[in-house]
Amino acid sequence: MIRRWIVAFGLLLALGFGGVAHALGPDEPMKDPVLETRARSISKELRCVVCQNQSIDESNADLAQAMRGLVRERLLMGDSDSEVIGALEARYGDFVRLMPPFKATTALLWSAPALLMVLGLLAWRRAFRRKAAQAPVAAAALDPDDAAQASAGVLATAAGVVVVLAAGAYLLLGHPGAPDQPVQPRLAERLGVSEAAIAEMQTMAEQIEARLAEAPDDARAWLMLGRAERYLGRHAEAIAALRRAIQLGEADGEVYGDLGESLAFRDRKITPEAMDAFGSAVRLDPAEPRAAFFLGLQRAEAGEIAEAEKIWRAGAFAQPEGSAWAKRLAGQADRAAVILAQQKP
Amino acid sequence: MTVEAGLFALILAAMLALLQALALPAAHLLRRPGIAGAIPAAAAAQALAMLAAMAALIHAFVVSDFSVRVVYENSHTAKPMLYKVAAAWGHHEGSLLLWATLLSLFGGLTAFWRQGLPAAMRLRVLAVQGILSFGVLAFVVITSNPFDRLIPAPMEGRGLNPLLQDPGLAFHPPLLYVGSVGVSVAFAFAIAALWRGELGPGWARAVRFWTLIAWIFLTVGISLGSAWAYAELGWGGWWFWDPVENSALMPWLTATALVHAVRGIEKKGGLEGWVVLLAILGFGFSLLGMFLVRSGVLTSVHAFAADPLRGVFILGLFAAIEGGALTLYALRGHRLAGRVAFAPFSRDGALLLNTVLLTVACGVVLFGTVYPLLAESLGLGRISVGAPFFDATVLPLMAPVVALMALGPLMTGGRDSLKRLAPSIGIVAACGGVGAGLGLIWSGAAAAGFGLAAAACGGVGLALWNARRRWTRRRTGMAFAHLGLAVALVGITGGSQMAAEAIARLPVGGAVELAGRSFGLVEVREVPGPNYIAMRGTISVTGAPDLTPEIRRYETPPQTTTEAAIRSTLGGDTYAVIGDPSPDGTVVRVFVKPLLPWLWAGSALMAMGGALALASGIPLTRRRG
Amino acid sequence: MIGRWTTWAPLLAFAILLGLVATRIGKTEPPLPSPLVGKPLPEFALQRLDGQGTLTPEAFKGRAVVLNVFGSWCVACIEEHPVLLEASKSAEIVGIAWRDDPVRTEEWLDRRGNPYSVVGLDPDSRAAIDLGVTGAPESFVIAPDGRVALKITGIITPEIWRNQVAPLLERLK
Repeated sequence: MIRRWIVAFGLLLALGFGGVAHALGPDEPMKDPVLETRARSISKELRCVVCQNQSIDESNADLAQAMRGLVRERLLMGDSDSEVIGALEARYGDFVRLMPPFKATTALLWSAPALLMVLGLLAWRRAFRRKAAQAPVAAAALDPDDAAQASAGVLATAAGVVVVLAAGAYLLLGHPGAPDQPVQPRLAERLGVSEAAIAEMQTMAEQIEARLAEAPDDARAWLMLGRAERYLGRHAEAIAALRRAIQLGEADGEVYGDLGESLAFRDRKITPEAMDAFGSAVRLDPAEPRAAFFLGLQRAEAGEIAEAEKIWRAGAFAQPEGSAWAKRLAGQADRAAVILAQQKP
Repeated sequence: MTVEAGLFALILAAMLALLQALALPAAHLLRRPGIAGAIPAAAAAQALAMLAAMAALIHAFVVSDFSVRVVYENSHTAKPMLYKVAAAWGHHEGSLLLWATLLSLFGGLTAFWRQGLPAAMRLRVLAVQGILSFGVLAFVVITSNPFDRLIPAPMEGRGLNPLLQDPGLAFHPPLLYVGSVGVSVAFAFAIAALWRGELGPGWARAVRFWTLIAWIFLTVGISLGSAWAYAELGWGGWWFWDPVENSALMPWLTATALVHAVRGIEKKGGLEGWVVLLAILGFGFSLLGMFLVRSGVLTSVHAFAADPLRGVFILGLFAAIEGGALTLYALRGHRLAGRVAFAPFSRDGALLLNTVLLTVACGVVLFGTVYPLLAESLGLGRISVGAPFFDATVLPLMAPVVALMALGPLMTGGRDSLKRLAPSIGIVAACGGVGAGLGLIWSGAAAAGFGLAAAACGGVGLALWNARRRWTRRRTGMAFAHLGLAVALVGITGGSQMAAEAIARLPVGGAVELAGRSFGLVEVREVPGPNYIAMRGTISVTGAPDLTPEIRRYETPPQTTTEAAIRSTLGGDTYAVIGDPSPDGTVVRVFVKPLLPWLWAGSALMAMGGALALASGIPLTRRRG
Repeated sequence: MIGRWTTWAPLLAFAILLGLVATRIGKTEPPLPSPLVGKPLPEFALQRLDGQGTLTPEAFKGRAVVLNVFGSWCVACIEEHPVLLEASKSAEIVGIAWRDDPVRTEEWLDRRGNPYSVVGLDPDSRAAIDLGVTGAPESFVIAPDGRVALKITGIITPEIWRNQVAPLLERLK
């Protein structure tokens, strides 16, 4: 099972997923317009073998691009259209042809239109020669008529049976008593603020977006948007906005700290990308507490506890005395020190 | 408790469907006709319960209740409200619940709207609908419970596929579903007719009424889906003959045949067997679509990931419903088939022939769609059947359909003669000739397309002129629908045969020439959206407003989409997309698609025509005499 | 109706169609059969990773070898790699690094070990298309006369090596 998944994943990579759907690139067309027209029409008949039902003319997969190149190269060498198609058919079989060739295995397919047409025309002709209809089936003796009204008793019994059956099935399948869990109150509870505050922050994010649609180069607004998204726990969106803010010049240690932290939250680990952000944070502001926290953490995870302790300790000293971060970093450093003491025999 | 109440309502609806299905046999067995009287009440209650269940699921998406598994998997707090609502049906469980809700809703409406049908027919129709509902609801509850809980609940969801964040896609599935589920009413009527052994009065009118509703929604739903692909996928295509597109097209083709064939019964009788078969096939194609998308037998851009249990369950459901219906048809169908009271060369003969041709086209689409699967299971190797095959086989089949559509309404009922019809044929052919001559400027295919469209317009105009003293809403509706097809054909032909495109890597300030106009890249800049950041290009066009295509980057889940900038005028579309900017410049692709907007206008005309014809069929407003 | 059987035709057609389609439920698509099996290996000329000229089929003519298409970007290749390392003790494996950067390929092989007698570089998929490759890893068993004896799409598992590849190589020698 896992193996199949890995094969699928490997193949996916080969397809060149995630790109923008662009078929023919600007550098591909040939100078000769007649040859180019031929190349296009040949491309429309060849399947992109790694795609779902796309011709190589429509596909942006790398392999399709290489195949388009081959088509053009062969045309330049003077191949006829059928020779070009034949060359690819010799490599990939009938599968590569969107217009299947007529042969034993496709005879049924190709004869279907004519066959169905003949059958249809025969049926049409015969409609005019049919005998009269046979006598209809006798209506059932007990056919209900419009007067047949359900009595209250019948309705009540039916309703009762249906509800009991439904309730029974529900008890098997459902989670009776499981409450709804809309995200807004849960977010409010987690952040320890009111639901109104969450709604307000969401409205604010939308307003900033509206403003940015008008003035997309407002670095300050991008930064605010990034922070609003961070507040709402939407780190992927926050990262995009913070990056844009940094690109537009709103770059200080705190912004890089925000970016690094969001990256770490999004990926649930300290990636090289996050390390870069924290590195920039420290360069711009040696006292940036989150940079110290995560850089130390990264060292600790790599087993370099002594190095981690040093980073945390230095970070703690750089903070205003008695601040939350000073305590937190000092706490980390103390814990590292305990581990170090245990490691020493 | 709304989530749990939703699950209870869903299960209650399943039980009500069971009651609806079993009450009639029970009434017969127990010899108490009164029991059958509970059927309409059950149908109405089932519809209400399903509405409640659907509302509960939408509510869970609106308030981002991540304790519901499908909300966690398909939604996110940073998502515009419209797409939070639309996310409720943007995945397997929710879309299936919507499907089932619509099925129940149609059942409830059938119970409510008696349409002057005798109880013996009405109750049978409702009983069949009960069977369908129970099957689908059992599938929902057992394999795809949308109210499955995640406890403890995560704080944030995984987000909806950004490709699905488009207004076109928010509304395309529900509309398409109304259509493909709507065909189930005609199916239920067909089974009831076979069950009872005769159609009875009012049957044909009711079938036409419900099928027209389904047809209108199918038309709108398919067009919206096409328009979405055109705007969103970024290479200017709007129909790809994808298996899932085909499974929407097949019910449309069958429903088109059905609304036409049923006229034969309404007027003269004689096509009962054919109409019943078409009704059974129509819903069969809807079910086939559901089977293909949800069973995991084929890969498609539209397919939902499926586990084998679902595949087996839905196969059983499909086999039971459609196999049962066709068995009943096999046993009793010949009793319905009467002698037709008209000659082959007559208006009704042409109409019948056209329903046959539409069915043949549908059969070819079906065969092409499943052939790769057949080849695989027969060990014939892997074969692709793609757009070139369908273009080469289905389009030629549609040509006589359009020609017959132009000529048929000009013929007389009963029996016509070539001599009488010759002047009309002359006029229609002349119109076609003018169109074809114009088309020859571009290509042979354009000549065929424009020729047929012009012939169809000529036919419609002539038919309206012939009927100028006897205008009815139904005739106007027909004229609209037929004209719509001609207009759509103009759009399809122009958009494909006259199209041009250019690709270039441009620096800011650079320009590319296409179709005598210059497209200049003015700037590329980042702009934020509600839950994405866009790279927006501004492209100046000679003699027209700027185009602003975008690339949108979404964060949850991380994905990039293209937003084409499309400027539509009566003469055609100008379409631009950009690629990622790089130091060498930005890739700009521009397309000119002459007349393509006519396709959407034509589809709208077709739907309007259907609505007009529908209005003529509502008993309250129907003219008597 | 002329014959009563005609009303049975739709049911019959439905049953056949559904029966055939049903056999595909729960199965993944079968691997693409290669038309190359039994045919001579297509010509290619690839730059060698070690920089010593080009790699052509001429290089292993007269010997039975396994031609393995891999890439440092390919996750499944990591899973396959130990099998190839083990197998390289008893068989010759030729590598084609598909759509890859030579530096990355080198790093990848340094880290995980190098089972290949020689590695050719195919950055623009030329050889890959000629070999009908759709993904990585894919492997071909080449007979001494230069014909393709077997194609394996996906990972060569220890079982596949034991049961298919090794006996085949033995026979070809």
